[in-house]
Amino acid sequence: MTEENIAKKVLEQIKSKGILPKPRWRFLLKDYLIWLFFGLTIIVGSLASSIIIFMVRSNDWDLYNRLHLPFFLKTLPYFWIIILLVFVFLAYYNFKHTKSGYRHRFYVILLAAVFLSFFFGFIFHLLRVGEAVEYRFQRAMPFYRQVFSRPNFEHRLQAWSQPELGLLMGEVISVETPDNFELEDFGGKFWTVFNNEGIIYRRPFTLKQGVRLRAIGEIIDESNFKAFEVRPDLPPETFELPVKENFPRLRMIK
Amino acid sequence: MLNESATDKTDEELVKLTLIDQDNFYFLVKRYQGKLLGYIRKISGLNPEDAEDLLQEVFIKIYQNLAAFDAGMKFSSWIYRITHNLVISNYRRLKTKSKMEEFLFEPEQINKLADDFNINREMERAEERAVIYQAINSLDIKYKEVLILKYFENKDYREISFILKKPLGTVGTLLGRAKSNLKEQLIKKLK
Repeated sequence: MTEENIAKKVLEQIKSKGILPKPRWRFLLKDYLIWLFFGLTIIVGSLASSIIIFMVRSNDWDLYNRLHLPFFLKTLPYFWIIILLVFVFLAYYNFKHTKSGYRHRFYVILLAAVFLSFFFGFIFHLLRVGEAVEYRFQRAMPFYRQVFSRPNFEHRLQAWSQPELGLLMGEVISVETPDNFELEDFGGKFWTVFNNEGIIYRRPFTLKQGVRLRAIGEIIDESNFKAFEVRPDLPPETFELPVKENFPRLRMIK
Repeated sequence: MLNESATDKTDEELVKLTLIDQDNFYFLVKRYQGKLLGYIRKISGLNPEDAEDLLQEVFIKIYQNLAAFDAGMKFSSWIYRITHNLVISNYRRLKTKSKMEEFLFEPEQINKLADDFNINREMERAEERAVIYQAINSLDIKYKEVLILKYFENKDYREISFILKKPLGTVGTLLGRAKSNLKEQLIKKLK
């Protein structure tokens, strides 16, 4: 086939088959959609990272010497870590398909997506968005609540049900003074929690009947617990307590 | 009736004119058909007839996507990218058809490659050019295409990066590996 023929044949094919150039708006729309999806993946990744920051930060790191590494590993927000990873990869995929995406290396795009997710995630965290989304998920999504939040709560419950180690968790029964009140632990045992020198309240909350809290201190005898500090349970109202008769014997964390 | 004065126009002007009147596409095809046919044959090793069939598909694809071209790009790089994509997406099918029986490379191109590899310029002899041709054809497609673009299509790193949709650094790495693989093959074949 001569060169002349190729050019003519191409033109004939275009005419006979009625082939037309695709309109420019379709290409522009595709470009905008890719950027839009990239933005959405970064927003979802940021939400996930804000929840991760919230959950990790509220995980009693100051009690590392009492709670130990296994507790912190068990209570990491794995669901949100997976979501973050998935959306970081989706962000990479979307960015790679933008017009200039091919110019950047895999790890550069990936690190940029992680950085952006944590940057905006931190802002969301400061605005308490992560906290709100986490509680909304717990309330609205039974699957999430059962598979991810419940085990997390139970690990916390187990770790904080060790009065011998100075960690006590329960529900307030009656309040005499902020430095002296009655508490029922989740094994159904009653405690007088007190400190004549005053109890430190870690976060501002109202001490009243029915409030769940955690106390750090030392056991005095079978029913008295001297508390140095109390902090509210997180989240305060989400989980119903285990049925007392079925409450498992708690394993000590050495 | 085709307007012969269109041959003086730049690629970008011809693209604009084609979007107004499809007959102008004839000049773009004429301008690039030789280069693209050679590129297709070098990458795929197809015989002239099959390569021409593929070339027609390439031009139809270029025509359909003409509105996606913007002046920020180099038109020649853009059509090489489309050609590359079409050859690669049909590569398995094409591979079974390829014969690799003809020397598609010009002696000057072989010499340029030989200079870069410090290979004796005796390569001007047809048998030894054939050895280079076979060595290139024995390379993995990802090395073969980057060598062909650099040494036989005279594309610079930035253009290769655009055509293959790979970062500049990756192009450099690929080219380095392609050269060392080619050198190994040549040493084997020239022994």
